[in-house]
Amino acid sequence: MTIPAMMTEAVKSAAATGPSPGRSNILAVASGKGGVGKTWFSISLAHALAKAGQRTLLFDGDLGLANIDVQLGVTPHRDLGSVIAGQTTMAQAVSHFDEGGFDILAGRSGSGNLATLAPSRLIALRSELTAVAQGYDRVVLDLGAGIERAVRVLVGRARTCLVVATDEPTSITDAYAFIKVAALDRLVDDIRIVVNMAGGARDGERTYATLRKACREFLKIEPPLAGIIRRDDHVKDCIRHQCSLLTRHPNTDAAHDVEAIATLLAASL
Amino acid sequence: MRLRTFTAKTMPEAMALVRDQLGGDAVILSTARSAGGISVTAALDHAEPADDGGAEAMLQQDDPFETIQETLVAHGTPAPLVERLIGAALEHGADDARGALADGLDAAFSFAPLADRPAKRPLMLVGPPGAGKTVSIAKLATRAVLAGQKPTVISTDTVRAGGIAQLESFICMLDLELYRADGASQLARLVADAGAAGADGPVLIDSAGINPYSASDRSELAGFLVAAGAEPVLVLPAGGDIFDSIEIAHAFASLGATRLLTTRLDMVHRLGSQLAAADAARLSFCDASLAPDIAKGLIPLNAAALARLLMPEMTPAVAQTTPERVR
Repeated sequence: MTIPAMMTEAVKSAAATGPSPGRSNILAVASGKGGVGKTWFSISLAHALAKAGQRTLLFDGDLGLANIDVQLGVTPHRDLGSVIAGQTTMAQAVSHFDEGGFDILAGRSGSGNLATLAPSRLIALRSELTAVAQGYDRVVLDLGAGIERAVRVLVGRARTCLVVATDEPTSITDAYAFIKVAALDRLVDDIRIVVNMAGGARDGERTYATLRKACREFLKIEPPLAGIIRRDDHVKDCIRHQCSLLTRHPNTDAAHDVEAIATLLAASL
Repeated sequence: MRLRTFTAKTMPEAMALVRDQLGGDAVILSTARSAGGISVTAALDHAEPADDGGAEAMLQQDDPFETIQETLVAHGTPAPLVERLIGAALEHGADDARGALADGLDAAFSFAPLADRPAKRPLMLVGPPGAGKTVSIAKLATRAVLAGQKPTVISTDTVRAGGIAQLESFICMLDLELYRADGASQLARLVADAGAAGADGPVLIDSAGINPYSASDRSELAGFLVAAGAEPVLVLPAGGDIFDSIEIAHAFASLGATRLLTTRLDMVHRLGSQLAAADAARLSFCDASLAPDIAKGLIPLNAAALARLLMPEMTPAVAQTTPERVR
């Protein structure tokens, strides 16, 4: 066997034996700053992936202020709170969101203690997520805002982390802060940027260029662009009506932009 | 990162504002024309990690799984393997870090110490040059003698200057004879003679180090193995590059090796490449050689012993930086 052939074998074998099986299909969504549309994007991305035929689970990892169920207007009987309380297994806490064709593991809003779980409980939770993830093609993991411990621990199982930013300076600095911690602590290898609420493609590219340049200058990395989502009033409308954009307004700019991101991700992962 | 946008009538004026407010280290992130003239967005950041100390510092030191993670990372263990070991450790739920690590190791690896079962086949130590095969043969022979057996020791390492002489001096001290085999047929005869003589000890064969990427080296070694009907045991020094170690392990596994004997632990404290090699090539850990002194012997490895090697001291300082010297 030649050395390159052996190298290929070694890599193949490394791929076969580890990473933990669930690692490859978890897409984490982070933002640093709250209020930039992270949860809305997570829902829409899960919906777009499901529409594209992928078995998808949307996991509400915002342990402190979970609100996927609120945004979708569903009231699951079980949620992450019951998992953490030991009342159900994670698999039992999954519910199906018929309208979108994907599964949901809802968080529990307002349970402050969820955000302060001991590290070993967090890691156990993450392991359980990895196991549950094996039953799906893709898991979209909606992380909490900020860079707290829970966020750092949960993102450690993701294959790819999408960082959502808008053109607001605070969003750019907070997205940068998240990328900095994720890159310096090697929490996740593949970081990509999603620009949300862009005035247009050119504006979105400018926001991305600003963030990329900060990453290049200070961190020596250049996270690629996952996509740009144009500002679209239909988004506000669907959040107000507690339903998914892809159900209520499938033929809109924002819906098309999210579907384009889903297609690109499906092709590159 | 401090990020600010400055607007001025002209570019030089805007740049002067940037320097004035953020200093000479500021980086221009973007410029745009605006109603007021030119807008320049600039930022300033420190190259150091975030001043909150990073994720690891935020995690409690007394959490056993964090300690395991830090330890394995300090050993240079590949991240996927770290995760798998922690996942396996979590399933058992031992309270102390070392016990939990042992649980994880037990689930992820297999252990087959050489002394555990009487060797039915001759054992042939194989590996790259300088791995510690000859010293390990001497240690195995010593162990057999101390157990009241009379091992047969053969060397095929007859070309290298001093290869035989080194082993001969050890073997003489044990009051044994060192047999040399220049070729496969001679080796076959010596092994057959040992069997015919009804020797009550193991047949231990030292081999010349080979280049695992050389087809002729591999086929020559394969010839020896077939002739002797021997089990190849890979002798792999700790501290090698992870990918090199994995490739070497694969190469010897393809020659039939199923066990890994770890050496050089007196000088090397990071075992990540050993873990990665055993994992990738599905080798069982058998024994570890802690020092070149024959008297120090080999220690049989099981999950608990390997956990002790990985986590010799349970102080936070060890977990944070590098494992302490292996005792």
